[in-house]
Amino acid sequence: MNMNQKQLLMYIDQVSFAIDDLILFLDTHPCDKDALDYYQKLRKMRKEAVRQYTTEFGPLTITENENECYWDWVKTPWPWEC
Amino acid sequence: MWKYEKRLQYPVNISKPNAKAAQIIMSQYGGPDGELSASMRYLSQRYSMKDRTIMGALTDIGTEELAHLEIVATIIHQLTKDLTPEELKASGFDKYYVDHTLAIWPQAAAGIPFNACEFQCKGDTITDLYEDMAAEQKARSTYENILRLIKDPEICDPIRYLREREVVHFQRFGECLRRAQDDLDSRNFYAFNPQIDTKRC
Repeated sequence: MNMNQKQLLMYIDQVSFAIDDLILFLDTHPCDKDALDYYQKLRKMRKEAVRQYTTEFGPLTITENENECYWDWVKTPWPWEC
Repeated sequence: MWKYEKRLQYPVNISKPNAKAAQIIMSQYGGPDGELSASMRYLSQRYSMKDRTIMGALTDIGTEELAHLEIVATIIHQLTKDLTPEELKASGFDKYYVDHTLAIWPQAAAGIPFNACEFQCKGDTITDLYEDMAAEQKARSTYENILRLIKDPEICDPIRYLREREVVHFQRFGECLRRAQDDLDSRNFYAFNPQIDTKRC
């Protein structure tokens, strides 16, 4: 996958949204095999994309700060900044 | 507990300031049917709920509402960024500006401050789920009203997304209600309250 920061973040937004929507479905349909399989597939896609984003562009969550020389959490833009 | 993720659930990219639109959209931040009410309602209702499935839906929908609160705040922030005093006066946003400058503060479009009396946690399973379903419909109507008043596609895009989520949440709460009713006396759902009475029909 060769994407710039904007494209990769959009991909993460899309995969994450699919998960957000699916977890609500699973809350009320906890035995649905298709939904459970789809959840496992999406979870792997998101994990890989977040790992790639964190390495290249900085942390999305506070426990993913990989830079040992600077606290990148406060350097990268906040989501409300244009 | 919660963990913050440094991104919006749905992107907001507004390039033109529009204080009039911000004033209207503010109702979905701190207004009667806004995202703050929604989140506090669902997250607070969880503790007395007896059904673990419904506790899950309240947790996950309540959490998503916090993400929506951030989307609404971002829309207002981007719509009011760098406004001049002349633009503030012309748009009518000066009345908000005098108290809050360009900070985000929870109030309804007409200036009424956020108030917890706008939602209820009754501690009655059926009552609370009807409250939740009504809340989703009221929020949907508010987003539709916003879409009737605002036509800028950069603003309407995230508003349409938020409206759509109200429809999905209504469906999920409806499934929660059906599940709760399956556990009750079908001739009288109010024969007892599963959150207080231990009796099962």
